[in-house]
Amino acid sequence: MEISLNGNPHRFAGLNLVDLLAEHAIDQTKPGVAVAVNDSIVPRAEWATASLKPGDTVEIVRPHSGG
Amino acid sequence: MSIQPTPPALSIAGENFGSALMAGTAGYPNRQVMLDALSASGAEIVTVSIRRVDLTGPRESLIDLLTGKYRLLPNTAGCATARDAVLTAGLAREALGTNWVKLEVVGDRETLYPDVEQLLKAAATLTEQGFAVLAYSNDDPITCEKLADMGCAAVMPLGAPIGSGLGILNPYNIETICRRLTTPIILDAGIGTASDAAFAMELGCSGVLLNTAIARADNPVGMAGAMRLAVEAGRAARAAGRIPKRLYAEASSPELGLIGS
Repeated sequence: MEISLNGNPHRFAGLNLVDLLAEHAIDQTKPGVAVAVNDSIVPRAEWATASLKPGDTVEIVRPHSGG
Repeated sequence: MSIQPTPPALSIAGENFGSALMAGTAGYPNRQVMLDALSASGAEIVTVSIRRVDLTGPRESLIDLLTGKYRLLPNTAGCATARDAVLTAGLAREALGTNWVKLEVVGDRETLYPDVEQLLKAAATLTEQGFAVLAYSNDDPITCEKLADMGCAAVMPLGAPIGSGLGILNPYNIETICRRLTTPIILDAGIGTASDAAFAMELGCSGVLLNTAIARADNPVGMAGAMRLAVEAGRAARAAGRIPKRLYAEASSPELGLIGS
């Protein structure tokens, strides 16, 4: 399916956010990552059950340097 | 003489800190200089932004370097609407497990001045959602009072535009804000050098938040140490009570007993 990932079109073969994060080698055991789907925050506990559907807009963020 | 317990340098949202200085993590020549500068600054609270994960590049984690040593204060820098700021604050809470947020909603990219309408809207939503909101604000006593009345954990008026290093352009307003509000006031933005930070504390601020003044100094670690001393000196001077200003001289040496009189 085609989704939008961090502002870019992305072809995704998995089912849920656990699959998507694993596809990008993002360590899901460590804190410091947060995910929003269609502007709604998906808590970590729901990553495995949150199924993605075509057209979803996914944002994966983390802390960065800032003032 | 009784020994007085030393009050904490800064209390925000029921938490006590040993330093009234908060420091940013952006713009240092490299990560090691940042770590050394943060350490030299004495800051216990450091700010971070929330940004998209780079899905293509290397992924060195900032929080691995800072967690355990500092309380991380995520900001909503770059947000131009209440909606984006509220979403960013929610993502920060999820990523960092903190309900603290430095709320920044800017009105335009040139001045980086807060958009007061959007700022107040976002602050209302976030305080309602249980966030400890540290609100970056204009140096306007009325806006600051509204933010305090909403229950913000701290109100952070700007000294001058972000990154400008112009110092405190309207000390009268900063002093007025500090006098009128019981909420902690943190001078945020505009600090150029140590005397600006000391001045903020002398005006009655509870703390100072700065980034560029340290990060872009010729010697960031040296400037970080200077800022630590400045904030301590300003706080001590405020507590000690300065003399009133006079328009004319008043001799400090005794007038009596002058030779030749």
